[in-house]
Amino acid sequence: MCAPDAAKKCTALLSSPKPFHIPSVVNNMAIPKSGFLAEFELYVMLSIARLGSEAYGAAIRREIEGRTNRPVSIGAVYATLGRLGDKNLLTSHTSDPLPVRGGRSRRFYNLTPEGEHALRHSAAMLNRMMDGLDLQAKTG
Amino acid sequence: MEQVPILFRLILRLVTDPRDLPYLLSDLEEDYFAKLEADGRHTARKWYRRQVAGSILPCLSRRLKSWRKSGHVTNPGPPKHNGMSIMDGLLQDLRFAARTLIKQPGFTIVAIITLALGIGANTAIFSLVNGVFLKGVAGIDDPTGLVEITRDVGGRVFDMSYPIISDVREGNEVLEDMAAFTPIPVAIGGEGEPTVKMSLSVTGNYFSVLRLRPALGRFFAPDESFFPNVPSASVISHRMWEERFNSSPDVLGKTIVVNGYPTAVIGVAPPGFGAHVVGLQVGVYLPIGIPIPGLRSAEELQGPENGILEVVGRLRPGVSVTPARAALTALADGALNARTGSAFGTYVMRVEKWGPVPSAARTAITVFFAVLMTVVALVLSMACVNVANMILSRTAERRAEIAVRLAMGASRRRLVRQLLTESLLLFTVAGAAGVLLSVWASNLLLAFEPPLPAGIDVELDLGLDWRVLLFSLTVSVVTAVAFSLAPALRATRSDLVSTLKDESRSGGPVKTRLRSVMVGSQMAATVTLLIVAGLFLRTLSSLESLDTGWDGDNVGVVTIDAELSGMDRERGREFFRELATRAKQITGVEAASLAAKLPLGGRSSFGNINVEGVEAPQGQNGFRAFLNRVTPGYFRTLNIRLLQGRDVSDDDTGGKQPVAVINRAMAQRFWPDADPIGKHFYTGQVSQGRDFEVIGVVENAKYGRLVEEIPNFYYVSADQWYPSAMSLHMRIAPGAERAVAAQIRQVVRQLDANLPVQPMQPMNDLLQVFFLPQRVAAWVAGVMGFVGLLLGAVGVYGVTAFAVGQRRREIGVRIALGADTSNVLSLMVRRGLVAPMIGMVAGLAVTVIATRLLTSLIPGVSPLDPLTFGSVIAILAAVAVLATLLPARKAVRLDPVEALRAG
Repeated sequence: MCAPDAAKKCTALLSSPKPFHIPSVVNNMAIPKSGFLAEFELYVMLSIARLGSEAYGAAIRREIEGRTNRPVSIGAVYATLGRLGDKNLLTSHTSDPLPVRGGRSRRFYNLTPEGEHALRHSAAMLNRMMDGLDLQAKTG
Repeated sequence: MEQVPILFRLILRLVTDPRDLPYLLSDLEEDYFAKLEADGRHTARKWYRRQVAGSILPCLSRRLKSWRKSGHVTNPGPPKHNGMSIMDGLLQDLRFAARTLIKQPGFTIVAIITLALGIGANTAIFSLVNGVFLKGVAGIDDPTGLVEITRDVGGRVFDMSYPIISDVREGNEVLEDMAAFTPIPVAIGGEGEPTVKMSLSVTGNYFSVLRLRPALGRFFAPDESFFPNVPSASVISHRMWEERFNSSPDVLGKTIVVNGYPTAVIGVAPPGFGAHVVGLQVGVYLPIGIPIPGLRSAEELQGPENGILEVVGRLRPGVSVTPARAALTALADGALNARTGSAFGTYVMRVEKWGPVPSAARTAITVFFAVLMTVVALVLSMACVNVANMILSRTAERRAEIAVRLAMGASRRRLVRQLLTESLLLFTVAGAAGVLLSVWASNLLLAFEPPLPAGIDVELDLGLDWRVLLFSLTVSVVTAVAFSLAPALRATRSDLVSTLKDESRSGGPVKTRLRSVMVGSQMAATVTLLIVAGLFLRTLSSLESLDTGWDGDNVGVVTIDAELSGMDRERGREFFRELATRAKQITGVEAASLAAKLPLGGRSSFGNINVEGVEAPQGQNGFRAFLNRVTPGYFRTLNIRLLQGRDVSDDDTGGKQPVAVINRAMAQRFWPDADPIGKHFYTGQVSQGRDFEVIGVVENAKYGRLVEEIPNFYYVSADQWYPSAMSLHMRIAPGAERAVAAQIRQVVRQLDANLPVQPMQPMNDLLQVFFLPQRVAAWVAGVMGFVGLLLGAVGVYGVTAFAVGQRRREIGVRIALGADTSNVLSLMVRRGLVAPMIGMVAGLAVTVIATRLLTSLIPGVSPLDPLTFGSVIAILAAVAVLATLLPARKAVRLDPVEALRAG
């Protein structure tokens, strides 16, 4: 589910046709030393990309849970958000208190340019790894 | 307004990075309230708890990482409250504590070993309690509704008869259902050598009352198998399925041969389930009334007065035990009246909550475990006191460091927390070591395999589970706080100025009150522990040297149940006669005979007896008497002295006048002045019951228990009263045991190839089972007493040594001023001995009261046994004097100049 205003960005990110060269990965300092995004990190980043301006903790958790159909704990989401923040792949800002019961403020997340790059990179790597594989036939 | 689960929120607070915490909590609440509206309170709370559980690990690992990265200050120093949460402080404390402990490996290792012993002993005994009482029985669903139902006759528990059970089952409205069962050993054959296993005869609804699910196949249908409508089918236990059928799924429909009777296997019981009694292993479950020889026959089942079945029931929801009992009593009484015309009077039922241990044995086992738990708890408290002492000494050495910190502005609370964290770490590590130790100790406990009769197989699951782990964690944490709070508070109470100036140089008195209390209490615990251990050891030795009246040395025993191969009375009689004859012919066998009961193997009775001309005691219909059924030569085999008359002989057969050999006590009670030979006694009323002619008198012996009043006891001819199971007793020439054991096996095989034979066992080994509780208790208390003695000695030594160390200057001054060394020595010893002696007296006072509770476990030994008390006091006094003397001697040997300089 992409928020309408984010839909374009979301599609653009995931279908980026930019060719990829191994040396560029090595030289690109924006990609953390560990290189790849872990699976759950990837899910969190993708959810943020999908949710656009509505990406806060509970929404991200629901998004992943809804799409992967497996239980996701809020603690795992926050721990991952923190880690991604440390890697400079995310920024966050705090909203004004909500006009609802309890009226707390929320913390919203955005991908940084480095984050967008890392996401694109991981998606491309995944695509390349899958290229030519017919998993349907293999597993079926 | 509905609240989120507070406890779980607190957990989140502890583990979450404080920067994320408010957002995380509000996010969680958002989803929680949505769930609450959509799915209700139960689901929402469950969801919340799952969320928290799933969050703990990621949050903690994230915090650990960021905490490591940020690099923290090793010195706790002044508290920083800005932004530092409880968790940060705790992690910091933990790290600091770990480093402090590692820096002093000697202290740490000794403390951990001491504590691990204490915690390990407690965990081992607790896992025993856990295995017997708490784990329950595998496979039973919703055990809280189950009840044990028995008949109560004058406060004693009796089993019930089948007709009454079926009447009560049909008529009652308090029970959902009730099932009857009875355990009987059977021979299971088919392929290979027959083996003896326990069988459980059950009504068809046994499994459904317990709410068990079959591992394979099906159970008896509750409606199809109630006597007399009985299928020829059997259910086997999971263990039997594994052992005999290699867990093969083809077992269904196969035939197993039980006591020579083939039955088809229709199902397999769930894994881990033997019976609804903890630990009892069962091989096969058979429907009650199945016509297998050796099991309850149709004839036995039809008698309304035959108490041969036990009952387990399930209460209807909302019904409690007391009204159920009243309702069942009324029904059973009515049923008995209707069937017999009220021959037996009121039929009182006893209904008790079901537990893994049958209610009849519950009290005895509880007392036994309570004694063991007390013993190990004492050891743990002593270990803790020792460690507390060590901590106290250590914090005394760290006074300067602590004072500096206080001076720099650290709050007392912060320092106490730091010191407590150190102890907590120490005790928790020791707890973990203790759990490992307990696993080893539990295996040792399991190795205490008592020689049980054939077919009875008890196996307890002593494995670790969450209860055991929680127990040892709780013990570790509670003792850590209890025993280190006082030292921590004391250490941080220091008067800043004097400590910084180094008080020890000022020669002021060092307060050792706390230590004295510790040493005193330790001494008290040691006294109790050693006396309990001593009493058990005395019991054991007095039991073993007890004159039993028979001689079990060099006697081998083989027990044989003729019904296990389906022999009837006539064939059985023939078989036993032949067996005795052939046994006597084996070389190495000096005497052999058969008897229905082993001495001490339980007592049997035909009921009260009466003698012409002797009035029965007030309110009773005769005299209590017990009997054994024996073949000729029994007294010679067991060296029981024949005082008068003759032994039973081969001529005392079924058709002739029943004869009996009586014990001396019985002869003196009934015929004190006359010759008892040729006199008669009757079971039941005179000239109504069975009539026995006395043919001989033998010396008294121990029959039922090692400590008992000598009862009236008589021996009758096994030929006149046939028992289907008998034990062959053989007096064997020393050295011939093995050959005889092999040959007797051969003989039995030749006589009947289908009969399962247990290996021959020395009679004295068989009797060991009667010492089992005392043996285990003496062993545990003895080992623990020894550990306690060591700990006590170390404790007294440590405290005196420390006191001496603190007073080195004073001693130096005294000696420099010309004090006699012997004066100083006696001064130190006298001061050192005050606390242990007070402790010892207090301990004795407690012990005198406590040992009274042991009376039932220490037959034949007075709870105030002077030998035990005397030797324990002597040993402890010697230990205390030695433990004070050694450091004191060291003190007077000091060179005064050096002592003064070193301060």
